[in-house]
Amino acid sequence: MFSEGSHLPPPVHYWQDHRGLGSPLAVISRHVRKHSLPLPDRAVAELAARTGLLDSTIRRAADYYRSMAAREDHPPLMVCQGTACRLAGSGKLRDALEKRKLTCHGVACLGYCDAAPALLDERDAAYTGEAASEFHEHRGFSQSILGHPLPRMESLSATPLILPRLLQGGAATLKEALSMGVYEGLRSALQQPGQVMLDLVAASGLSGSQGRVAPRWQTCAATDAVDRYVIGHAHAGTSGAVVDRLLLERDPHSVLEGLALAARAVGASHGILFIPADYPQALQQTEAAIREATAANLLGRKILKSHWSFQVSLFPGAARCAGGEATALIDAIETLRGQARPQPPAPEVAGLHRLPTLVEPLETLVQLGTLAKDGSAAWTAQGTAECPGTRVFCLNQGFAHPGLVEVPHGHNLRDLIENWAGGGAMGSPLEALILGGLGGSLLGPGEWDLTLCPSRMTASGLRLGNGSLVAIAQTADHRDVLSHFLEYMDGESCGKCTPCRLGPAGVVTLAARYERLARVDRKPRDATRARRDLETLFHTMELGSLCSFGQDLPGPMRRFIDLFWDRIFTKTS
Amino acid sequence: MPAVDDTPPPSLALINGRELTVSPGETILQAARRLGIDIPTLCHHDRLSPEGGCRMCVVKCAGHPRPLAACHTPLEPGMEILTHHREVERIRKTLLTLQLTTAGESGLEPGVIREGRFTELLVSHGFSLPRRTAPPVKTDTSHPYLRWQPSACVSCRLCLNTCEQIAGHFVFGMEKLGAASRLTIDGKAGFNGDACSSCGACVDVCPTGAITDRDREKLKNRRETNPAPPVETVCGYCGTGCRMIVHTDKRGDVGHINGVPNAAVNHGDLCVKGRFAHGWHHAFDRLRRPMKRSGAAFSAVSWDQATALVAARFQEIAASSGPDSIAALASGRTSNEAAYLMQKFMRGVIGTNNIDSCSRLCHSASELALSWMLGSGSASACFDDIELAGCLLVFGTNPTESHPILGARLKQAALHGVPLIVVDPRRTDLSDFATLHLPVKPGTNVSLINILCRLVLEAYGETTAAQAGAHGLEFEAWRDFVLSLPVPEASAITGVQERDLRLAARIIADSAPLLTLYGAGVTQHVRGTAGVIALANLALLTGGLGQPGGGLLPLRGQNNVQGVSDMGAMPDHFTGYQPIRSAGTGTRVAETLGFHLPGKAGLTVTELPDAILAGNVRALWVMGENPLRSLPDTAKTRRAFEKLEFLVVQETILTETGKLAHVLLPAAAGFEIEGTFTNAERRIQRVRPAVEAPGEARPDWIIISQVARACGAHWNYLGPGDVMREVGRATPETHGGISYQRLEQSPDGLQWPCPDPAHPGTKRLHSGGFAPGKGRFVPIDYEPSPAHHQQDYPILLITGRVLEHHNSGGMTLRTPNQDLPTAQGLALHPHDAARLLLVDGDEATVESAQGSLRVRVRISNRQLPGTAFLSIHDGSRPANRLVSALPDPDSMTPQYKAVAVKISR
Ligand code: SF4
Ligand code: SF4
Ligand code: SF4
Ligand code: FES
Repeated sequence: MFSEGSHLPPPVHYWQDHRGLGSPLAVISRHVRKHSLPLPDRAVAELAARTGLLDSTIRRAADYYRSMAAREDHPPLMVCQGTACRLAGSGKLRDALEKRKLTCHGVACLGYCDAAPALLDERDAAYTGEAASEFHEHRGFSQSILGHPLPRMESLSATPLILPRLLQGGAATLKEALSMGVYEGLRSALQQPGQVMLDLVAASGLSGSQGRVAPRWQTCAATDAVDRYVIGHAHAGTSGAVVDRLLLERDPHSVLEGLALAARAVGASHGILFIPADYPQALQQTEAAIREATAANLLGRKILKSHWSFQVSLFPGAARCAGGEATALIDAIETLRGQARPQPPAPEVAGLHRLPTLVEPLETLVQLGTLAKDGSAAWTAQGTAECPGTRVFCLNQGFAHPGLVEVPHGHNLRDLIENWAGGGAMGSPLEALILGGLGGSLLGPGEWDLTLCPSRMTASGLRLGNGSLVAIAQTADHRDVLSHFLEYMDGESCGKCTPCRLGPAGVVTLAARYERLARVDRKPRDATRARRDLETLFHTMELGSLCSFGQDLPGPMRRFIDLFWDRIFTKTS
Repeated sequence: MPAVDDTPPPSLALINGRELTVSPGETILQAARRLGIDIPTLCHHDRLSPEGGCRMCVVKCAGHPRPLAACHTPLEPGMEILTHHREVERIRKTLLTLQLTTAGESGLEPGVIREGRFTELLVSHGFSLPRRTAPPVKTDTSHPYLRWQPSACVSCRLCLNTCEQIAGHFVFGMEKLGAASRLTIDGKAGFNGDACSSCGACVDVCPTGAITDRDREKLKNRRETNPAPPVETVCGYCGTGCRMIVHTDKRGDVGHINGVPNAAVNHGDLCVKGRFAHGWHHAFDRLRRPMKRSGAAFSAVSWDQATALVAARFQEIAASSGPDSIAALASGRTSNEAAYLMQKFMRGVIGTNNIDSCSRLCHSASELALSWMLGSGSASACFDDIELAGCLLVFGTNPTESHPILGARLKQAALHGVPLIVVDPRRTDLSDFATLHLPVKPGTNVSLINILCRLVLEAYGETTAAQAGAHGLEFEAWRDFVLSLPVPEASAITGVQERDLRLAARIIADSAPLLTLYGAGVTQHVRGTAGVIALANLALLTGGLGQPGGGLLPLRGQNNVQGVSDMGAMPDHFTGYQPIRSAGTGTRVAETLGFHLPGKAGLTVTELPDAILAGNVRALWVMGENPLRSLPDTAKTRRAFEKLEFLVVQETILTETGKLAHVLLPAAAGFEIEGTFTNAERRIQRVRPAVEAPGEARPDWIIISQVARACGAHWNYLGPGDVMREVGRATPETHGGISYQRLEQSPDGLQWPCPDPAHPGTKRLHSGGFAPGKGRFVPIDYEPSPAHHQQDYPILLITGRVLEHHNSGGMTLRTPNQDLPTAQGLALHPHDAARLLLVDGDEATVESAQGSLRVRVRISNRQLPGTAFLSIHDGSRPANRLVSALPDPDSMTPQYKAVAVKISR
């Protein structure tokens, strides 16, 4: 049928920086944040001139960012609706702000879970904790962003692999980064064939939330194709984005180096950083870092005078993307729609533009520099046999001592909660934990003696997810948590498959029917029936959904309802 | 990759307990179908990549923790599948329940859904049909054809995927997430926005009637169906030759039209013209009765009177000033049979070779150059080569608009990775999908192609170049010629950057075979024949002629413009391109047809106005043409036609030319006739009448026969099939095996040459080598076009068509196509517009040495600076008023594609 044309110039895609002017999409997303849609023709023409894109592409891209668009040329406040913020009252905060006629745009997670709730004002300045809850009083007095206090950070490992630079205050500029040894790994990797890097990754046992990454990388490298892509993505999803935000804001060069090394390992010529457009600060820092690194010939054509070229593009991701599902990210880049795709083929076999594609979280990428520079010893020396190395956990403001902690895989969960975080905030006892985001694991107190190792957890049907830990205290509003679950699923579902698209609405309908019964005369058998109907739905969503987002969410939700049925449904308002 | 055993065990799997062999890559759904097991689906379509959204196709697989979606999961050895296990049936029912019960959030109103694939699923899963309710929002009827009722949409995205993966447009989107997600149509613009081509492919696939069209709505509302079975025929618009099914309504008028599902040409797809623009068949101003001029007006006469009059006047004029004082024009719109009879009438009854057709105005350059160099003047390749090509070169044609179904096939090929090079002064829609777009300055094609040849030769290296030399005669001389051409000079002439020229050559050299599609952008130039010669050199050099995926594919404009030439409606050729001057042709005609071929070549249509003005031609019979609009230099043409002593116009409607006629003969139109059309890939397909002709209008072949009989000829054809049989006898080499019986049996028609009844037809010419002595390289140099460097007329104007309309607009302007948003008017690059102080929507004067026009200006950055584009369909502003009558001296085709003009406010 169709022939491969290896000699062809690679097509130039609309998301690519093809004039050395930076990311065209960043230009558009920033414009849209300040101006209402639809854009007038004049604005479209101007943007087209600035970015070199066709008018129709500008319109489509602008539409992609519609959720953050200004209303009547007034940028909305971005109010975090992540689980941590929600438990800290951000749902009510949003209602209150809207009552004051301030338009709000709910964001999946702004990355301030340790200091929830959080919001960004019209000029993208961040407010957290009390400053956010009392926004109308603090308005205009944001803790200006870079001066924003860093969260508590610690490593329980002697050789931290993810946080080392952040623990020293970060390295936002190239100069700082070079002084901390960033890019040395890339320099040495360029002396050797890419295979050496791939072997290093395999030897180290580098692991993500699904276990070791090497098998996927090897498949990617072995698949016969004219080119490959690597995509680094900052976790979308709820709560736990703190580490991603910090890495992009304060250690962007390690991210870039990691992306280049991953590309080197699998033989990709192009990398994309998929960063939620609602991280304005991170976006800016990364853009600056790309510019600096390209100017220093650490990225771009013939890197460091070698024969290897690698270009990085920034993709500001709008809306939400099925909790960061890899195929949905790829679809967003390709079509600006962001809808999950059937697997097989897995992305590492046929991903972006049908080419083998690696999709990796930033936490994995930032480890590669050290790996290339110092070898795999630091990984094999810690962690479990299945998953060597470490992992960062982000504990939210519901704990007595919230913050980020890097621990070797295999660490005990209870130790983290009770000893490192000191249990619930203000001494209130904890009733449950959400580990790894809403699609992760819901753990009752009986289940905290858990070995935090991705492989072992998967074997026992649990998920480590993005490594966030959210505390549910006795005082929590359980009804609100359930509606948060449902709103999250409904608001993040890519809408492609029926069970995930309509399931949450179905649950709401069932719950409402049961509620109505409460007002008349509720009999025990009504409860049985309601639970049975709910179970049919959860079952359909879990088994029927196309991608892991829809498959993973019903589990914790079901567990939550099981644990707190009475608390959810007896408190009639 | 799992390791493969040396002796793999037979890979078997079980579906519902039945064993089958696994074939790699096959999905569970496809495998189950092989066993005749039906798995319910909603979002699946065989021609689309699996969507995997509806999840109705889930099946149970032993040993798998979760069910598998049959539509996108490959069947693997050892799988044990149960397609209707209790568990998956429960999931299916829950999914349907969810669709029906979450209306508040999803916006679906079950009572609005029309009967179709979705309601079938409901019924087969034990649901009762939702009671019909009025839609909460009004159906959007703002588009002339398409209808949109959002409350019936179940978000299956079949429309979206069809639009992108088949039609090649990107109209649909999804907005919002979760239950709030909604289908969007060109953002907020709807079908009226620029993205939609109104092809209606989405209508065919929508399972709920959320997207439908005017024709179907009308039928549904009035429950108006005709018990008469629908008729399969061929589209009467362009040379693609799409097969279609015409359904009629209760009155016997055209109701709605579908593509024939597995048709070789169009695979079931149609474009806006083919699917929707049929209303003109029933237009009130169709010609219904023969008419004769009395003074300034027309008066109706009977057929007998009309034919007697025509015969008498022709005989009179022939008697007084000789047969060569009569001429006729056949048309690319009528059937092969009519074209054949028309030229037979002129040659056999009147005794002149003064017969030509509109083919002259587009592709006689191809016929001339290709038959000279390769031995046959027609497309060497076929449409199926598009998907097989190693590299696609689309030269001087904008198929997205002129041949939409081919345009769609080309775009998909490009999207699937076939390198595509588009050469066009305009940034066409297709060029956005191309690997490379070469914006060539109008009138410099020859230089561009020559230099490509040189660069390809250089890219080949010694051995390949030597092999290429074996493809044709006189290689060395030609090679030395092209190698002497300097690249920088060519770059300066053509306005294409050197780097792009080299890249194009590299792509062509590296990705054999090369398939070249070209159109009027090559032929409608003073150097049109030279352009085709140069392209043929390139085709010979790259060696794809006759191979799958390679060769030359001139895109013919009208439905039967290929056929009209095949049938010998040319002043110098008889059927099958037999030269009239060759003795063999004369003998054959005398033997098989019993008349003597006139020896002197006749007049071409381009020469006609001068011949009339000089008094050499006194009478003219025009069948299905509108020369007053299609010929260049409108003013002169009009003067000539007004001078004619006797003008017969045989037409479906009253055209500008018809208004000057002395006798008007009402002809039956495309859906009213029986016959054959031949498309651009030499495919002869059957045309069948679906509706009755209005009034007394008759098929062309009958009219010609009657006139012939009135002139005393013994013509007794029983039907068009009879005529085709005679064509076969007169042209055994190409049409000998064509008969209506065979065409009935092979619904996709036969591609000529088809010499005998057992011959399967010929997909590709030259696959067995060239005709003896042919296949030769011809050095041909670039010469500047007369339109270049004219100080007073600094802008190069290109004239051409737009998607929604057809040629002089006689047909499409009588349908709701006239309400479609089109890009009519004069397109100008923003720089030129700014220089001339013009803004979008201004009226401007375009002036050439021939004449001037007032037109509306449209600013477009798809235009090359220094050029302008004017569509040809608007009768009140005939673009040809500007075009010079100076034609290509070889092909006699006028230069429609480069007219020197000046533009002022
Ligand atoms: S009519 Fe054709 S172009 Fe228009 S939306 Fe439907 S498929 Fe797309
Ligand atoms: S309009 Fe029809 S085809 Fe398109 S998504 Fe809706 S139901 Fe499916
Ligand atoms: S592409 Fe041509 S033949 Fe096919 S439907 Fe359209 S006008 Fe008719
Ligand atoms: S048919 Fe398989 S998911 Fe729709």
